[in-house]
Amino acid sequence: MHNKIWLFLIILIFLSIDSLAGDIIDRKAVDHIVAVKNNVLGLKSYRYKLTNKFMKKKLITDEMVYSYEKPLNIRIEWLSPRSKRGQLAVYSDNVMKAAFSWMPFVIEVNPDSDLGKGGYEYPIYRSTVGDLLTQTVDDFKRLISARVIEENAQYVLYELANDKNRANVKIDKVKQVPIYIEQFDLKGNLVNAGYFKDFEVDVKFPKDYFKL
Amino acid sequence: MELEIQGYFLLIPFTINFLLALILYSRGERAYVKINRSFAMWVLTICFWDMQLIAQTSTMPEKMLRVLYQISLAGQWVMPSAFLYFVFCFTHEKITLRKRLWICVPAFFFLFLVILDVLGFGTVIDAIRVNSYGNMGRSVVYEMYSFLAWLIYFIIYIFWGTILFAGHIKRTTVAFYESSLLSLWHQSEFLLSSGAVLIFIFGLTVDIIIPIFKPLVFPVSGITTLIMVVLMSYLLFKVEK
Repeated sequence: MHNKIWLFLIILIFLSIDSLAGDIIDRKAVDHIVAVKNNVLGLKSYRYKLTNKFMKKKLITDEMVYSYEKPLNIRIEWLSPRSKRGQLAVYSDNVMKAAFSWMPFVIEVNPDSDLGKGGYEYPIYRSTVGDLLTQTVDDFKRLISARVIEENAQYVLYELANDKNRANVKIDKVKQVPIYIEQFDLKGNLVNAGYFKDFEVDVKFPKDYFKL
Repeated sequence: MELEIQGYFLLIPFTINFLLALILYSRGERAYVKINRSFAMWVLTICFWDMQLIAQTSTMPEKMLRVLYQISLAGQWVMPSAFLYFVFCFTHEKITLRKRLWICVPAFFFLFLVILDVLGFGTVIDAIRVNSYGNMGRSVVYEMYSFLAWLIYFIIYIFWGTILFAGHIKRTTVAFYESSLLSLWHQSEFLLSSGAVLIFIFGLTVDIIIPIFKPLVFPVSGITTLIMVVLMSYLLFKVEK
């Protein structure tokens, strides 16, 4: 009988050690993501091909070319889905202009309106990868675990979890920019994701590139 | 430079329209020269339209594409005036000074806008963007006020011309019908010509409306303008005989 109680206690201790290990926050992971955020926020200009996935009744996938230049000039060109291919949106001097794919000309749009947001969660002026990383870092207040899942010379993949969701953040170790950020709910379903391909930094954009 | 598959198809209407315009411009008896030439001019402006449709399917660099669009718009944006001039000639309307002004002033105005755009004032082309023709096709995004002004000009002139044209067809048909039953052949010709103009308008309208609901995979106006030009050219050849 005593043996069985001892065995039960030992198993209990092992289980609690394991669960404690899951909740450990790797400070290196946190510091690295903060450093990447600061690096991205410090970039003068960049451009990347973004594949954006988000859940809205069903999983929606958009593909676009995203260009940014300081102080806050943004240009987005949609490549897919076909219904949005060719759609253009620019934000410059606090003004948003857009040409929807079916519209042969440009109109001025309120970035905070439903039309301006175009079904996305954030307005265009808060859509930069810097904003996305800032939000990820802000969520660190509720962080319960942060750990390295995979690492090699080119990239490192972190898993971050808080009381509401879990995120996978993959960082390009050479350029110090994100490769992707995936967010899941507690059941493990993908809520939204951004995949950043062909990330170019310090891009020299043509004159009037952010004007329509 | 390569073309998407649509571009190769669109070379057919462009070539046929261009050849018919050249043939009609250079032929005809004295009484018909004015009608033939005015029609040829209208068809040439349609060729510029076709040129833009073909350019939309090409893989050429953006700078070159912008120049090509400016050239094609210079011809294409005067199309409503060319159409009205043809209708005036075809219906034997007396072209008074006021009518000349109605034809020339907007045509020169829009030509002037394109010239300003070439000089870098951005009066017509706002941007070049990807389109739904294949992977590499790129279209024009117009400057809103210029485009809306042109659209109003286009609608008014096409409507005006069509009304005059339809009125003329009706008068002529009634005259033929009353004079002789043998003139039914002529009736069919004139009905064909009115059908041609309606097909032309239908194609342009469809090209504007379809993209609102779903991506356009082929410009319908490329085909309908060809049908119109062929039917009208046939009519002009026939009338002369």
